[in-house]
Amino acid sequence: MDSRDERPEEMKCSMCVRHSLPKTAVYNEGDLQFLMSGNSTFLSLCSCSNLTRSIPAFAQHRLPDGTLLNLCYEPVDSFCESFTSLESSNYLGPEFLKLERTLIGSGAHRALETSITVKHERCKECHVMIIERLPSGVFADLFELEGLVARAVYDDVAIYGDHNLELPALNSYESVVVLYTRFNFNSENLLHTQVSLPLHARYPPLNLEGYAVVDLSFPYILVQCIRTENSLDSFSETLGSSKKDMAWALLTTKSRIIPASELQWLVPAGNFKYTNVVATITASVSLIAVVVLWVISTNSFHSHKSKKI
Amino acid sequence: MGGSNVDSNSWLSKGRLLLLAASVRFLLIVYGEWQDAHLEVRYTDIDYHVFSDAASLLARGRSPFDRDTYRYSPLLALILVPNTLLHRAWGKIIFSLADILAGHLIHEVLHLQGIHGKTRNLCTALWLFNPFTFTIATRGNCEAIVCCMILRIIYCFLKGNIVEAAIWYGVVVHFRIYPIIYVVAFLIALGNRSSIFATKSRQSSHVEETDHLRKWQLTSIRFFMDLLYLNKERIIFGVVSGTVFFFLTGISYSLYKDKFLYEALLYHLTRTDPRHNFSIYFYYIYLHHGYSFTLVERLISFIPQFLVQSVLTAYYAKDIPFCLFIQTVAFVAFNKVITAQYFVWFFVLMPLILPWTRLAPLKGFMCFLLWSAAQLHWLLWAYKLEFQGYNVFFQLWIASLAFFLVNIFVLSVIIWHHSSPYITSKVPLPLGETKNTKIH
Repeated sequence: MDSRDERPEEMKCSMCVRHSLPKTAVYNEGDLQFLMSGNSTFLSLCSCSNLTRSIPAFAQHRLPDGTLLNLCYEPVDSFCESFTSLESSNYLGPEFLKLERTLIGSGAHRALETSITVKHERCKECHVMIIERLPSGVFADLFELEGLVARAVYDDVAIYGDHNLELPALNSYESVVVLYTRFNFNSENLLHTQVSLPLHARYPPLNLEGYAVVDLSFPYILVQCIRTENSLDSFSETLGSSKKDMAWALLTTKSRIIPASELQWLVPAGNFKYTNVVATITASVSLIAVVVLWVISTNSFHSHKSKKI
Repeated sequence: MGGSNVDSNSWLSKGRLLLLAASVRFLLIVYGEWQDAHLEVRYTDIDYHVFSDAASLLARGRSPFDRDTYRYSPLLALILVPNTLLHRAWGKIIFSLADILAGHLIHEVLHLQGIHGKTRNLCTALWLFNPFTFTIATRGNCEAIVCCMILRIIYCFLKGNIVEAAIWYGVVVHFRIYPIIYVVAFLIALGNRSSIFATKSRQSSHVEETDHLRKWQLTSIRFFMDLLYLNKERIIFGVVSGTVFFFLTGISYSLYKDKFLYEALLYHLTRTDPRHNFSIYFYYIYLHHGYSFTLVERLISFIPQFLVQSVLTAYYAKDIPFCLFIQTVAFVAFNKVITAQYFVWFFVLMPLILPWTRLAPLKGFMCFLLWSAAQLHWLLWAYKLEFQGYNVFFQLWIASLAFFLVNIFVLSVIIWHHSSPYITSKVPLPLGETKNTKIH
């Protein structure tokens, strides 16, 4: 991936195509791992490491299956003990195969696409929940997302935080988008789904470079599988829950650190060196226009009076 | 101008025009429903969904202002409640019917202005078959309702029905705010009927008329005295329209409190959107959005608008249809935010001024092409910025300056070629022939 420090030359060119920044992130087996939740009805995505203060939940979301989700906006650098890694040989939870994250499109309206493939034996029904933490530079349109739910593209959608459509980034705050949908079955044990989240850029703060960088972080991806009735439920037994419980598995990096900058979106920004020029010319043109209309109106009025019909 | 009475057997008759216009709109509504259901790009305007959601909230006993970006009168949400109870296309049908009604009102106003025959029908057709007009109505934009009210006000003025004009004026200012710019023009038009405009042009010779007008032009004090004179019509108009406005606004405030006040009224008065739009001020506002505007900076956008409205009103208020038209064009051009739907505000008045223009059709068409080209030029830069992600803010701002200058040019051409019937014509002045006023 190109680092931000390698872009200055291109960013000086205001008419160059902005295609050099990474728009796709691919994770294969071994890059990521699943952590299991110890509670199937309550999930907390808040940091509670010893190094940082526990950040209280700023929103709670209830999923269609009744699961209560605690949301904290602050980037999490470690997780509460609510998620644990399972290295037991009896582990029969989902197995991560591939994750691909892509920022599709150009301009101010794009789609953040997440394509995930997992393996799970004897899975009757599997859900995925993707929780995107959006910085103030972009927003998701709640109305647009509700339209996707109405057309049955997703099962549930929610936005928490600032989802104002009109304010610039300087006057906006972060938001969290929760998307809940189902996996498709590619073959007997392979589960795949592709989730596309439409996003829109806000007007960024002014700068001299001509473009502002919006960092999109790695999301929270949770997978939940309902196993077939006749299957061995050692997965649930491992957690001490009943055969009918549906535990959630959180996909994360091996280090459990969530990358704060996974994909980057370049947004055109105004240049404050033009402030005085623009103000002066705008004021002058508008005043000149007033004078022109005044002269035209006066002369027209006089001229018409002197004509016969 | 003039000519035979309306020929109902002509292919261009009013009845046929209205029927054909209604058919076009009905078909577009049906098509719009199909496109929304089958294609990714929606036909329906995003604002229509905002209105519908607000109406749905109102139907459930909640505030329509709980819907984000609903910035209209609760009346609009009330009108659209059947969207939830009957069919989601109800609002589009209402707006399209309002469109047709606007065509009918244009036809009637032209009749009062002494325009008949083919000219009258052609001018009506200009509104009914303007692609911009029927597209925005069938997409679910509510401007047609505002247009009907403005036309009805003009109609009432020409008939001398001041009370009804005042009622509609109170309603339309509550509904949309911007018509407040017409208040001085209306008051001038209701001025002392013994003023030289109403009397001298009827009784004096052409030479005396010119002489008197010149003297009047040199005496601005007399103009202000005339403006401040409170005759019966002005008092009635002010009291009735003010009562209606405050009544509707008061009820809305009592129901929805500060949220109504901000979203439906103050937002429009203080709106400074930094996002790109046709206005010459958009880049100026974006470059300043990081800090608050000083008084001088706020005046940069207010003073030109105030001055141009004052100038146009002072000269042309006696010719209400023309004055409203040029005021609206200027208001839109000088506004801090310009969106395409604002163009409907003056499109609806254009048929009323066309019979009085001395501009040759070819030159008029060239002006229209120039205006369209300037708009297209702006849209091309806006596409590069918004959909391709190039930093072309400066170029887009230059394009907005160009569009502004074209607007000023076209407006100047229209003013220069206008022959006001209330100043130069020997045709009887409709304003003097009403049941409520006397000829002095």
